[in-house]
Amino acid sequence: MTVTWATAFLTWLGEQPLPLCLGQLRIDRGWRLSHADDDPPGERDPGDLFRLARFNAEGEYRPLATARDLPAGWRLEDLDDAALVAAIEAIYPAALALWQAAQLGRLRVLSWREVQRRQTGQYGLAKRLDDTDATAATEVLCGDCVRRRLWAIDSTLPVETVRDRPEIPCYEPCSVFVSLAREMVGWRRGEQEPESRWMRALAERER
Amino acid sequence: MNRPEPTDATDRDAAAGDAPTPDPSPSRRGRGESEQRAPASGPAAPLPVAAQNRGVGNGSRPALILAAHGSHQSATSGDSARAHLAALRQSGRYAQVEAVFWKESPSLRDARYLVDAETVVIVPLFMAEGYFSDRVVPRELELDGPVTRRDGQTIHYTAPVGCDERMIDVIHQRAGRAVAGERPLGSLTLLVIGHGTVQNRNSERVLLEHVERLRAAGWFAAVEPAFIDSQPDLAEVAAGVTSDLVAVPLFVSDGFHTLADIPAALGLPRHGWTSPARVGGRTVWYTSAVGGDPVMVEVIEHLADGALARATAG
Repeated sequence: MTVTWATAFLTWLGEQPLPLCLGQLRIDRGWRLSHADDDPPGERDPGDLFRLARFNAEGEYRPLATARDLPAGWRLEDLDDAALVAAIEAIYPAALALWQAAQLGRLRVLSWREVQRRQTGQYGLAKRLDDTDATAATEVLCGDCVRRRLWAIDSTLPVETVRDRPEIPCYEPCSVFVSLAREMVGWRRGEQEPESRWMRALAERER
Repeated sequence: MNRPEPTDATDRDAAAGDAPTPDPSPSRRGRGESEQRAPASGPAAPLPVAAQNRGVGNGSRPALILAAHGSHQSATSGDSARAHLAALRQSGRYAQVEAVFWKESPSLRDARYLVDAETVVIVPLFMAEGYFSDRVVPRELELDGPVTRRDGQTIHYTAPVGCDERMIDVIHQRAGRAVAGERPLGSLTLLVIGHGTVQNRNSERVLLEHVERLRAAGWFAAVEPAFIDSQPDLAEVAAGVTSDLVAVPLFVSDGFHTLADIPAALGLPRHGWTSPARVGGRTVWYTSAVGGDPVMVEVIEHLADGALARATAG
């Protein structure tokens, strides 16, 4: 399977000084892949990399693939181009396609206000989140994410800010953010206890 | 954390029709009428997607995207979609195959950046037309209806997999593999189990249509519909069956409902059940969610082929 974003990323990668980090990944010649915090790289064969990235070191499910709790202690070596791309995709799905879209200026960035407006169903409650709480949510959730956030509450940053950098752009609030927004409104109303770890962190800040 | 019991109802089992709000679409839309589907709500702004590089290396083969629910709470909710993704990539029929999720990564919103073939088919992995297939997926993917054209790309959006007539073959084969020749299927009662919800009658209607077709096919001694959150009630239906029975849940993926609620309603242990099991003097075979069946790949391909054939003909 040849996709343009994979080819574009590999071409770009071949011209970079290595190793370099993408999120919590360290990519080195060979190709070698490991956790960026492991220096030297971990020893363990991760086996099913996708499975490994599904849970953090405490065994908790990671609904946010780009959260900063990717488990460490593993390494992959002698990857060919396709295997490197597949490994990055397993850990950060769509990261390379988004990287390329940013490179080409194709990425459309939406503010929280725009995303908030289109919510329906049970997530319609997210429309009630006030901007102070939305800002707090970005601090807690987005602060726990490796992506480069290009959106703000009511404005956006130019896509150029991620050009030529090994970064995963965040072009609009994700489903985890929308879900947290809904949870926060419910919590403010006294209708629900904090459930997600980010809501628990937000509640902790106000204690 | 690692909560065993998700509290977000829409994350449970990704049950189709498990809609958080009443479905605003016409409730009695039959198959084939989806061409009249109303345009999705949401922004209709043209996309700033550059046409450059489009289709390079992809020839003229279409790309296929599976649109699924996924979950913030269950690590396995998206497994059906990912298994079908792997099988479809193996087949080599498509220039590119991706699975995108409402609740996981890659997201429904990422789809437009992942695929650059000139022709794209999107197949929603839901068991019925309803809130997700009619509103959420078209809105998030910014689709105009069954066919969307923009920036030199033609995007076909099919009916949900659960509406396809071939679902009865999947159910039949799944039941047959579970029973594994220990009894002739013609001696068994088949229970087809759905979630059911008062908020969206579409999911029940689709299941009842499958039941009628399964009865007409004559593969089983009897075929009965049952729901965990609607009528006829699963526990009551199961209690009323005197013959040996095989039960197949019409769910996209396994989760709380298929792994605990339904076994309990069938008289199996809520946790640690096995199949077959003796319950009330009968033998009960129970399969996991039909949406994870490998034969679902044929349903996906059938829907995709149908959309592409209509495009060629029309």
